[in-house]
Amino acid sequence: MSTLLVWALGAGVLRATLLPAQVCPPITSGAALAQAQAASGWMERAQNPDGTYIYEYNAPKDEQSNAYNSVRHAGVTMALYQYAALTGDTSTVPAADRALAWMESRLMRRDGWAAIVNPDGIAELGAASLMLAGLEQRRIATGDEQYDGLMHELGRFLLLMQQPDGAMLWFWDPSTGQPNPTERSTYATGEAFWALTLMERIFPGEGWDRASRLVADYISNDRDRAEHQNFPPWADQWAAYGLAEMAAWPGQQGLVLNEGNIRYARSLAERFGFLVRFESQRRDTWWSDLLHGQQARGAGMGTWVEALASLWRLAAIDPRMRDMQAKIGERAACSAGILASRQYTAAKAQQYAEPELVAGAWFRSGWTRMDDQQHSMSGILRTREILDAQGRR
Amino acid sequence: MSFGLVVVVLFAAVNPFGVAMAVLREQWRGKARPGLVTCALGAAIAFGLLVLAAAGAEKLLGFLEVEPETFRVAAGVVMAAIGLRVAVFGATLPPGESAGRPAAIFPLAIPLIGGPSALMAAVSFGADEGVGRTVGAGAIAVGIAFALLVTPGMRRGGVLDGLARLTGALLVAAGAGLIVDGVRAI
Repeated sequence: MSTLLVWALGAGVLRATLLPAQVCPPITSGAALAQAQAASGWMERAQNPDGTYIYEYNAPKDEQSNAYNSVRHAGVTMALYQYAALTGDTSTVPAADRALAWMESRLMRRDGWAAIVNPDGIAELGAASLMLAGLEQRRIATGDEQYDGLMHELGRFLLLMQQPDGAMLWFWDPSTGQPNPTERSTYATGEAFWALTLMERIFPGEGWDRASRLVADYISNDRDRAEHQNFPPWADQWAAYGLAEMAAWPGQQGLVLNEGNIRYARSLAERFGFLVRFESQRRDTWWSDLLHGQQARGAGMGTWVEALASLWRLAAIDPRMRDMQAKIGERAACSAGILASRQYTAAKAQQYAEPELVAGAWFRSGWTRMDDQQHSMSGILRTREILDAQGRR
Repeated sequence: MSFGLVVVVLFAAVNPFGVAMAVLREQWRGKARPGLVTCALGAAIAFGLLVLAAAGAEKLLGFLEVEPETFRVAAGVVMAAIGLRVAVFGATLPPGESAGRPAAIFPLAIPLIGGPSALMAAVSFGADEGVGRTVGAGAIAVGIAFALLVTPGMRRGGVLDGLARLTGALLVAAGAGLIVDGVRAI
């Protein structure tokens, strides 16, 4: 009897710690579109007259933070253009254009390149990369070529920040008039990679593929070691975006990605799949917080969905990833369903002082940040083709 | 995973040397050695439990709403913990009679031969590797445990204890491998 009691206790401990149920709320592609529309609505309503966005908002306290940064500004703007590119609905373009104007007013131009400059004079790779990615999405959405010149200028800044081994430097230093040679960014390398791959897609034959391949190989083979990642691979959704974009380059003969790129892509799929499995076991309770940590914020989880959607697309193109496609699709659909279930609805928003700053957003501990909506919307939108393929319309 | 590796892991999870050593320890304490029929019954019941675990793995995981990859991590943790206990403290039986027909169920089948590590491994492999391979590997491991139990010459406690502890260490490694595999799976 005591043995059975010990077993029962052990089973209970396992259930509470390692084996709680993995909950994946169902979602259809139609619902995903509706939720993406709600998120883009938040971004538009949260825009200030000067084109900036509300950076962070606390719903229970009805207060905003004073923080801001150009990288997240560029990222949110990119997402609004991406919405137009993915849905064909260009109603988000005017708001994105106002935000673009803010970035254009902060450009530094020099030696044929351009970059957004922070108040301290530093030009960050990430901001320029996401501004470029946004312009690329705008061109895809509208076919408008008026920003082609600026896109090339931003692209040349990215090339300026690239090292011979493909590594990307974090920022241009006004005190030296050069890129800072020692600092690298966990995020900006992937952002630059994706932007470069999109340049090759939009302007093929200009040599953007060479720069893209250099970064791809650096990210795939060297980045985690060179940048001292403790638990490789770094969960880089921008790298997933870039690899999927490369695989789909028009006019290429044979498979574009090499074995190292595929090995890395597979490791990314494993990493993001694990993150989703673990998150699906988290609940919004103090008990779950204690045992499994707090639920991921929208910005965090949104990047997982973005990555899985990109890797699913890659698996559909490259036969070396084909064996993973079904599982990747499952995890993407699960994470999209989880994200969708956590979005604040218009009905739920009514209990707050500013319902318009609550509806369509993702909150954690009372706070939402603008990139919560950016990454969540991008992820949910890009999962629609997976949901369609799974018959979840 | 190759069938050979499934056999090795289930062997470590059942730990036939540990089974024989635990019974031998009870004899040293003055308890009667279980007879041939009791051992056969115990082995058969334990094997039946392993078959049930493997065959019911998908239904169990569905009931728990847990993916096989996630269960693999939990199985690895249990196996590593039990393996560590055996490696450090040696194989032991819980208090109770180890002779007579009732001993076939307790403690021979449960928890000695069909212990938590063996059952968790059977569920995990049943879901990942298939019922047939898991049952086959389980049959080998349980068969060896039965053979060691009934072999008259198995009185050399020092050797048995050492082998049991080594197998415990092997179980720790196998458990760690399952944990890593489960974490790295999509």
